Amino acid sequence: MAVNGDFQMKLHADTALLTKEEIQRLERLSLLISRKMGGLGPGEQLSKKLGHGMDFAGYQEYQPGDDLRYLDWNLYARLDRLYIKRHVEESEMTVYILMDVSRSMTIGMPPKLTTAKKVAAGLTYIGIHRFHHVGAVLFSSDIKAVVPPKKGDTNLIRIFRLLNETEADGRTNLNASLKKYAGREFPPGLIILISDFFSTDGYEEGLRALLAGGHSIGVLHLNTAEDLSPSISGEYTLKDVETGEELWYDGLEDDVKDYRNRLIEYNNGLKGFCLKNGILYNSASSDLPVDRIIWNLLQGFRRRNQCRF
Amino acid sequence: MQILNPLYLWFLLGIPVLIIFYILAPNVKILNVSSLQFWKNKQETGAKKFKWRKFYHDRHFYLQALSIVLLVCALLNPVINLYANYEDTHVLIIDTSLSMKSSEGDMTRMDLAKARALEKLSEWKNGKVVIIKTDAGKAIPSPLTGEGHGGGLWRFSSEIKGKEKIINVIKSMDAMDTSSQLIKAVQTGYAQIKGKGDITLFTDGASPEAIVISKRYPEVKIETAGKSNRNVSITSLIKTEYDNGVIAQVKNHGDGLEDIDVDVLVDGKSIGNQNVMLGSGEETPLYFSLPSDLFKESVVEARISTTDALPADNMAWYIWSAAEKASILLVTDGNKKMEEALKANKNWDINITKPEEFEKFSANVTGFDLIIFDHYRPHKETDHYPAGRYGEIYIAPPLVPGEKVFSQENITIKDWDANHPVMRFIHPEELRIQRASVNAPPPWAEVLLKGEIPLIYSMSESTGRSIVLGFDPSDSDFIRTPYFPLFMMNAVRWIKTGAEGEGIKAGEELIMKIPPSPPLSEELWITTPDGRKERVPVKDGFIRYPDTYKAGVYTIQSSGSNVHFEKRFAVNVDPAESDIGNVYISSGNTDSPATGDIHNKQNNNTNLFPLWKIFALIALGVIIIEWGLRREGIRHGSYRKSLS
Repeated sequence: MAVNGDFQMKLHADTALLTKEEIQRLERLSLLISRKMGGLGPGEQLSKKLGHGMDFAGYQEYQPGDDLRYLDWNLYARLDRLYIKRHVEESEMTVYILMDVSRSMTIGMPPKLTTAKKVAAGLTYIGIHRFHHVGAVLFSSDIKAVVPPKKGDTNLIRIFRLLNETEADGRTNLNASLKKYAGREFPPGLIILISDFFSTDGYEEGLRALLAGGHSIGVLHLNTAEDLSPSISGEYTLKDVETGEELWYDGLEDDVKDYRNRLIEYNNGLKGFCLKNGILYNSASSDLPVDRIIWNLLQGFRRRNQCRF
Repeated sequence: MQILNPLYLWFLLGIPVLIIFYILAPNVKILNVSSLQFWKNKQETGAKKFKWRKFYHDRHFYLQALSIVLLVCALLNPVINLYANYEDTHVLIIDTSLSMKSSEGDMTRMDLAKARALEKLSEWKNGKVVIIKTDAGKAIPSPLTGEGHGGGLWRFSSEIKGKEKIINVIKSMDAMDTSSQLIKAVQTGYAQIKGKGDITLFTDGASPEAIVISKRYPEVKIETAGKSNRNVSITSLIKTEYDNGVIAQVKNHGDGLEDIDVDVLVDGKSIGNQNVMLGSGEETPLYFSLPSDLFKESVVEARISTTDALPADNMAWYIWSAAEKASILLVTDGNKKMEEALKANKNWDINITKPEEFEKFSANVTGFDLIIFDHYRPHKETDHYPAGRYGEIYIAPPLVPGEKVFSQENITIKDWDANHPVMRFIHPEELRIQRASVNAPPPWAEVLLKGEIPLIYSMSESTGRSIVLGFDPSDSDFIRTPYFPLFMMNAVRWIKTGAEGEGIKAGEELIMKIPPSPPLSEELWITTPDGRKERVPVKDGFIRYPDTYKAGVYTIQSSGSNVHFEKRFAVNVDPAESDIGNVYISSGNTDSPATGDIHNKQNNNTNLFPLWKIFALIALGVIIIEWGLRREGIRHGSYRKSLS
């Protein structure tokens, strides 16, 4: 589906989340998941069902009641027997975008939340553009807002407005939020989780709860230079933006080194957990261009044969 | 170390103010982070509890405090006494000029001064003694120590413990025929005193310099030994320009009437005698005709047979030679009056060229005694020219851009140096000059004529002598007066020879050009009036001989037998030394009004080295470092910009 220029202008004017240039570049990306799974209707996603698709799956002897349009008359001429051509039925995909909107996402230049909103908007745009059902879930210590997965421009606008109006609030509690969302009734699909993963309560239980629902999960770990390598010299008061807690830092470089080592260890743990549980892990800095982040994410899916574009 | 402004210590209160400021200043260095979960748990939280800990690691605080301390140190104006550990120095300056030869009863003034110096010496028990002789000329090495300094002043120093040595040095001192240099000697004396000390000057009071010293250096104790003033002298002996004669200028320096007999001798043979009666301060020229059969260089000597207090100035010498030829190059674009004035003297060989021609061939032009640059200044330095030319006269030279310029119009004459050889017989008081414009003379120049600005000045340099006229004589009535050819003759003679004819004053350095041919060896011998023979080197066609401390006739001779060269020159006494009256006392001064103590130079701050500049510089460096660190911090985001 080609998006006309007027709609691009409307999206840009209504939400100001994505620039026109970013929207145009996102159009080139495709959100196709190779994994065979059921869908809500005919679409571009390959389903487990055999039916009317473009991909040939084999022959089946004609049974009364079969659709005569699929008879292979050439085969009948050679073998004098009736066979029906079977195709893999193309199915629609449901994409759930889970985005962390806790106050820690306000850190960075640009803030992680701004980048997360742009990535979420981009993925929504691509998903809707490719006829998928796309829904969005915003959470911090609890679920803050949900837009159910649907197709069409109306849902696209709804998600864009939600993203645009959302401000950071609360502290991150991944386990609680993800478990709560996993407990809801919704069809399996592709979950893309966007967060900085600064969650003192951990993330493992929440991700396991999502996996239990039969979803494919992709994790986008957003971080900033300020998080990874704080360049501070002299005395500081470090203030946790989520809790308001303050820590006096006396300017010792060893403390910064310790911090870095701990963070790297934590990030490696997250990455290892994702690999072990079949979750696509992708980390990105908030100052990267949005289309680059989305490209890297989709490339990750493609390498895992979960998505093609 | 002393502190000159201790009140500024109050400024140290700036440090407590700085501390209070740091405590009260809001903690602007708050860094928002995503989470504290990876920072060390052991660190305490709550910045409010750590106001004092702000100072623990804040280098800016220490740098600011240090800069305050350094600035306060600078304001305190601390000084150190460089010579605090030096012992007392007693300086004895003994005038050894010609007038000190004057007799006072049975003794000379020099004997009196030495006796008084020895008395003074006996008063001192410890410290160092410095003895300075004031005569000009090269130092005579002390027979005891070998110590001595050339170039005008002689100095001897010794610890007072070696008193016998000092006594012997004082006893061995004699007056010379030279002029006195009292001010220079006193200045040298000051330089000898490192800590405390005193200066005593033993003189006869005949030199006006003693009066200047009493005014300018009131700490210097002056003891005079001059009472009598009966003296007659020959102030000059010169050759007349237009006939074959000499003029002896005779003066009565005393208070009474004097009957003076003057004899003139040529090569030791008397050619005439004249008698003259002169009242107090009167002066008269006496003309003597020379024999018409004089062809070779001869010594003309004038003598006064009258007995007076100072016999040394009763004689004068003049070296007569055949017409004083000079080869002169006039570089001009055309100056008829000047050309005519120069050509009037038949002894001068005048060559005229234009400036453009001179620039082209200047490196090859040789054989001139003198070059006159008329309204022109050569582009090259004259010492780059070939040997054989060492004198220049600049007439209204173009002004040198960037240097100080004096200009005046409708000039009347305010002063002139009547004692300078160039100004001899010149009476420029009626002179009128339309305009003059001249660069400021260098410090070593002697101003010969001045109105409100210097008009004529002379310079004696190692490369030769030169005279600068700051005006065009055509713009004045100078060129129409008989004084102009006289001035030119004086100038040419002074520049050309410097030591021929009537010669130089005792103590002045003899600079003589040696003719390029026939080639001479690289050294000549000089015979002094007292019979000493000394070797003098020839360098760049010149000989230089500074030891003319004895008046009389000096003879320069080549030593080899192949080439014979002999030249004589006269050294006469300074006429100023003949005024032996004690002008110091007669002008209202009294002996020994001063203690002689060079008061503890600590009080005068002359020996104190100020340290405030050093402190201020270090403080500036610290402030720059602090600023640099803060700027670097802001660049890396460590501070908010509002802090800067």
